[in-house]
Amino acid sequence: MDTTLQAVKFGYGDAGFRLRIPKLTLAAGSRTAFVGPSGSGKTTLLRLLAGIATPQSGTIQIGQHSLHSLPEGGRRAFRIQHIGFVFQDFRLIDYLDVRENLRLPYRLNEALTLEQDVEERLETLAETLLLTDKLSAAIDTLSHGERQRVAIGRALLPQPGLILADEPTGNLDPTNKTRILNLLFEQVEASGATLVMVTHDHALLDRFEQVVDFETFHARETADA
Amino acid sequence: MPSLFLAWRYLRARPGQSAVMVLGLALALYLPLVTHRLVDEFDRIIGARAASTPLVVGPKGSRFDLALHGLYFRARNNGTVPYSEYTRLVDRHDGTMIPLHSKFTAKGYPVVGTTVDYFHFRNIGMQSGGKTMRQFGDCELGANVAAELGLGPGDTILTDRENLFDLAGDYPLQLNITAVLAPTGTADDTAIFVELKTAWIIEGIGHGHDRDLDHNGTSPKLVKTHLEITPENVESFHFHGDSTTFPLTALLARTKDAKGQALLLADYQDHATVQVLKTPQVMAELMSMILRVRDFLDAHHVLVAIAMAALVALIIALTRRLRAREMETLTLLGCRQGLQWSLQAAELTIVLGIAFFGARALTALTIYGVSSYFRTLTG
Repeated sequence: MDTTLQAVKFGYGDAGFRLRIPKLTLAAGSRTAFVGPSGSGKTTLLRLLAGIATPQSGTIQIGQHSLHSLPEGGRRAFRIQHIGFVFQDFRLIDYLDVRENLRLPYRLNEALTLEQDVEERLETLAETLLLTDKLSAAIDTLSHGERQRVAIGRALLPQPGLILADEPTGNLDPTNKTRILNLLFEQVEASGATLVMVTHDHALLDRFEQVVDFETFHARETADA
Repeated sequence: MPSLFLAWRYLRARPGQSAVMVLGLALALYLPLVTHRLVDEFDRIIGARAASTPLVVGPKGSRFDLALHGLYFRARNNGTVPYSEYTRLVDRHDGTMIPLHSKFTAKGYPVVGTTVDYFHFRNIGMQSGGKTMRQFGDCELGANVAAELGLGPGDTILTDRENLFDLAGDYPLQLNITAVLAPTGTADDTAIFVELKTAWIIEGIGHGHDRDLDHNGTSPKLVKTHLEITPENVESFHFHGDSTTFPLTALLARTKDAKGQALLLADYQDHATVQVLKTPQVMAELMSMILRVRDFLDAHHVLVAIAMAALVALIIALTRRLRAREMETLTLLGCRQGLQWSLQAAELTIVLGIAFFGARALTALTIYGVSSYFRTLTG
């Protein structure tokens, strides 16, 4: 499922922030890194790709779907079924245990049904992510590495075609960082999903097939202007 | 229903916080609930007692005091009517007339002088092992009195002295318990019943002493008055004066029909010293005063409810701020628009629901705890 952005423009009202992306293609099953200084629009672009933010102009095409031409409900349903999120600060729900956090997308969306095959997939995924003995544990009893593994599991369980990861290793020590990235890449590769990751760690960039530097976007914008 | 599921998990994960919310709301709900239920229960109980005792005859004075005395043996210093009023009622009117004399207490419980007709009038039975009163000094205990004091047939109980410093006053009399009455759930459970003449002996109108002593204060020897009535000395007990003037504190009357009641009421309409009360009417007046107090309390409860609602609104607003990130995560994960609101509504519904049931349970417990007090109106 290729993702293509064409002449996308986005701005926050009078705040002065503006993002322009003339053209960007994310090939199906590819791994793309977004790099750039803070405030350059990396996370905003993730939100645009997820259909949470709406561009002022331009199109975002994911597979056969033009994301922003879908109505709000359709966009949400599309996001649920095709897009998975992994965050730097994990964003786990602290009052749910690990198993319920993994199931959360299914609890929240009527578009996803929690059936037997999902439960089986959950068990397999937990085993792969070394979480089997933590499934009933409370979130606040987990280490940072374990929490990020739960967050990855939550993003992968619905088998999305596009995974958006916002600095997923930003809060981890070097050992955990490598382990988590390896797990994430393995799982993404196994599922055939497209991975887009925001990162500040340039040492990781050689593991991505495509690197998008947001400074370049802005430089180009400046040059075009 | 994801909102209900998440709300329940959220509340369960924060037991302390949830308990404080539930407790606060439960108390705010409990106060108006219990006030209404207590007043309703009080109304029902005193209404039933009043309905079973349509008329009370007694000395002129406070209508409420007389009604409470006739029904619950309270307010024992209202004055008296002569025994002749009883004979007059019996002679002139058809129905059941019951004389009452209740001025004294034993261990704090009212000692009620009456006739055996009272037990038929109230339909009170006797617990097994008891015998009816046969001589002066015998008494029958209400069920609660017997249970609380641990007394039964064959035991004795001493009447309370009215004034410790009055050496010439009434002396306590030892009463012989012949029976314990079956529980009725009314004021009769907390009273001690004696024959009318025993009540007069307690008051000092009748007494017993050794035969070889002189009387009327003319004896140079000290008169030794008996403080206990036994088969050996019972013959020495006697009364002085005109028995028609002996005091009664109230008379209970139940006429055969409405016409009889109207005639009895008319009989005392212009009486100088005696009044007749329609007890249901007097108790309804008493209730109307209580209802006025309830209205006043209701206004306070509204203020408490407003304060509580404001507090809950504040908590919700602060919680939304604290949980903004969680809500954003839910949105990113694909929750529908408005789920955040329905999540908080579900949390509030659960907390309110538990608080409501808690308040109901607490109200039921309170009613259970105080209903016996309402029935007896003693203590």
